Amino acid sequence: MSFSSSSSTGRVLLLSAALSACTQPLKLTKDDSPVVLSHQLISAPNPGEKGTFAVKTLYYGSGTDKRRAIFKDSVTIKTKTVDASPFVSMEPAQAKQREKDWGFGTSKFPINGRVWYPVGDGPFPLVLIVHGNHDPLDYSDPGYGYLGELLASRGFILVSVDENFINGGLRGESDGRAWLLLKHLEDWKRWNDSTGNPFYHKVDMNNIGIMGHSRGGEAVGIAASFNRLSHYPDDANVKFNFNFNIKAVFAIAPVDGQYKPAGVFTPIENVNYMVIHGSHDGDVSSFNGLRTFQRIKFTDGKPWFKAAWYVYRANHGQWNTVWGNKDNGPRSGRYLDLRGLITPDEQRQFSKVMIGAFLEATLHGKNEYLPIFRDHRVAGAWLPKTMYITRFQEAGYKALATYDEDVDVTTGSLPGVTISADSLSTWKEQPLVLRNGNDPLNTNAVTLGWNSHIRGDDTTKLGRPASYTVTLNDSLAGALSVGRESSIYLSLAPTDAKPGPRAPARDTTKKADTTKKADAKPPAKKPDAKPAKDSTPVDLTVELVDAAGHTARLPLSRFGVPRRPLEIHILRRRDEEQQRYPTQYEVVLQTYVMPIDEFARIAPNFDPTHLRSIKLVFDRLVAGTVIVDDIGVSSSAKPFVALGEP
Amino acid sequence: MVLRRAVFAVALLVSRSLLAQTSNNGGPYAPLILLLPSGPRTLAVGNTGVGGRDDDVIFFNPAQLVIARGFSGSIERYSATSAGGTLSAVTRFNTGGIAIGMQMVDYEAPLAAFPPSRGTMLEPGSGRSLSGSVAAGTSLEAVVGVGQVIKGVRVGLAGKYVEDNAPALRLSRGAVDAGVSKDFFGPYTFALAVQNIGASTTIPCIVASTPAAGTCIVTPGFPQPPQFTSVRLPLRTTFGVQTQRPVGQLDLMATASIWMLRADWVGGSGGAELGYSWLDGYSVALRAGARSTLPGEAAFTGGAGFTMDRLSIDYAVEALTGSRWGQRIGLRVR
Repeated sequence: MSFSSSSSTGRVLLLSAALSACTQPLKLTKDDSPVVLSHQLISAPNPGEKGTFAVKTLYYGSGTDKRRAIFKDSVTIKTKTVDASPFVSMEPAQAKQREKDWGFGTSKFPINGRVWYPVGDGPFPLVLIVHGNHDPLDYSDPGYGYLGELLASRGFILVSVDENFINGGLRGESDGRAWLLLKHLEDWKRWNDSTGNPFYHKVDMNNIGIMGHSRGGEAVGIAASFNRLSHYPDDANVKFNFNFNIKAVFAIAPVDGQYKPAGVFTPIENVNYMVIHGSHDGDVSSFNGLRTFQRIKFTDGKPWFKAAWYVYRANHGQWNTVWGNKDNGPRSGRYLDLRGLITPDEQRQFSKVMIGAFLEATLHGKNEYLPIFRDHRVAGAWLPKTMYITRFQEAGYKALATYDEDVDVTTGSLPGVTISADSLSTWKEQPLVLRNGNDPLNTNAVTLGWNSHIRGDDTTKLGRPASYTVTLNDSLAGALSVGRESSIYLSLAPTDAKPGPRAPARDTTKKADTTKKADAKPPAKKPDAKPAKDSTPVDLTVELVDAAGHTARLPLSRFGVPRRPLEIHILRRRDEEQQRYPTQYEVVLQTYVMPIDEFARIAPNFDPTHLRSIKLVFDRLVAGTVIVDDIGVSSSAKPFVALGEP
Repeated sequence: MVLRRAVFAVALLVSRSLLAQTSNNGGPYAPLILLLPSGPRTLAVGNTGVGGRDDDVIFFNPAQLVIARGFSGSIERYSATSAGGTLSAVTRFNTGGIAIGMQMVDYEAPLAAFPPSRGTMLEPGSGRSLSGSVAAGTSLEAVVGVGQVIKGVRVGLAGKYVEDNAPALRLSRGAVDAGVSKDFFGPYTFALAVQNIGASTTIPCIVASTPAAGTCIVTPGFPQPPQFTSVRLPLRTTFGVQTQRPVGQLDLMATASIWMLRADWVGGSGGAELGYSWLDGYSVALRAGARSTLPGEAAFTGGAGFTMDRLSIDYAVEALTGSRWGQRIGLRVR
């Protein structure tokens, strides 16, 4: 009996082992957050914590929605429906079915919203948030209640816009999602101007923010673009007259390019923009918002800024309390690896902090929160303990090298910029792509690889450190008004590639000998085509040189953490992961904003006003490869660098 | 419209046949192979496969070849002296699929009774024919089918060669299957198939009605002038519906069919499969079904399956008369 029992136990164990062998073990990059997030330099109140205002809620709606009683029976303000047919198209059968299901067609879309607002005289900045695509019957709009409670208590009016009725199997409706947001704003403007309305003179229409999640995340960018247009790009017979003072656009794990006006990615200009994305997003599994970040332009001279944050171990759905951790529906736990995710509370703590800080800075004008966007290490106590890679740029940034203009690796982005390199094993410019491999980021970067080892028997012999130099001519340096208050920008990501040892320098003192020596050694083995993976920490020296040749040098790691790619495994099965994604990481460059003042302080002879070159010296790691982009200078980054580095 | 007319026609035939049910199911039928199960998954759900999506649907309804893919093989042990097997494969062709299939059964019978039924094939071949030979035989089917989409309806046609090879007699025939199917109301597949269209025949025998109704003992070369009995191809018309949908974390497949042998016998079958997947590509399934019985069969069937990516292992068991159980195991590659 005992034999039989142990035998069957063995069989069960064997079966369990066989079945579990199909699942890959949990693989995560080693967490450095206990060190990186060990400081708190910002002394302002935590923007992720509730403020002092009492909070009330109400609903407004058109009352036509068969499925949503709260937007019919519970509304405080009745709204008129809008005709969205130019923006949302569908097959006749689909349209008929939806009209039957919801009680209205595209020509009578309701304006439904749930509002969290502070009790007080105001006026309060108005912020709209819109969900993305999800099961239409698993209503998404209540899922941002945690932001509503937070923001209203901090003096914002937050509206969670209901667009569940365009969820489901629709395509090409993102412009409709955006247009609906602007129609909501039209109603808010009217209510603010109407005596007797609960929001009469309580809305600060000069400070408007729009936020969106997933498809809603693309929609807010489109809305920011439509807001300044006079005609609908796809049909000029549809006229626009919005022109709202949208100052803040926040995208949560957005898609990008599902709507392309006139066949191009939606151009966005002159707004403060922030995008966040989880590395373990099981729905939008590439950082699409990075492309939006790249193309946002600041052209009107106002102090805009943009930021992009990549949050390690965050997913797609936990930003919304309704969506949860299964990014592709209730059954997606079959293939999504949920073990690596940070908890829903941690993920939402992050969104509360960053959305709070972003809106406080952009709509309340609280500049004390600005440094977090340049270097997240200044707010280590507020952020959940995970790893972040952040991009940043403010309106004063002037690009010296973006690698997008031409195929000449020795020229920069402005006339008067020249580029040179010394002893590099790899030096090439190439387009960056998103993790799925066939989705370009629409930007080029330079890849620099080095190995200080000299090929040969002596494995300790090191050559001169490799370097990469961006040089400015006299007139350009003067035109950029570089000075002690300026900052150097650089975006960089180390990779796992490690070039082989460099060839020894040729001995020019010896005569060439063409005869074959009998005792000649066999030719050195050709280095492996695939470089070995390296895991040692990456660092390099940034060296600034003035016209007189004085130098100032600081390690890059002083201004941020140069991390190797963060390992991502979204799917439970290794084979499916490898089949679906060419790489198990997303190349996200970290932006380093380096105040020139800090260089000048350690090298008193260095004259920032006569900056001539920015040199990357690869002397802190024997071998490695980095991707570099967006080298530039700015003279208006001061509010962002005011706290220095931890 | 086509389907509606078909349903109407079937309803008429069914009602007529219900009134005309005969004790011998309208038989005798031959070849035997056309009355046997074809795959473990279909067998487990009452031998219901007219709306199936696996490659062995070629033995049920060629219209479904439009969506079926892969290849499979299975073997079944019916009794100590009878066993059979099936092979089939389907691949993409034009707007649908093209398939080949083959199945065969090897059996003994107590007497050289012809045609054998599922009941007689279960018995051991202890008896010998009047000429003294062992009463063993084989029955086989080879089929080629094609399914295409025409005006939104899946339409299929299959041609087959069937053969009964008993010691005393070899009967072979060509036959044709035809079918249509279409999805309605979302995940519901409605399917209609007419199988085994072909000519019946007569065979010589010396005793017209022994040992069971409708069979006779065949003795070639017997000096008496033989008598003749009619043997019919089991022309079968089947109308069925099948659906597959998630139920919570489980996957449910349910199927049912009503079928008619000639215009003389109406039966029904159906069953359900409940699947659970704990990891994408891996799943287990439990199946149960019931059917109207032909000679040798009992009503209940059941089974289980394990899928590992494209490979599935399926097991089915069918109740047979005399407290016997037929057990079928198969491998499927999608």
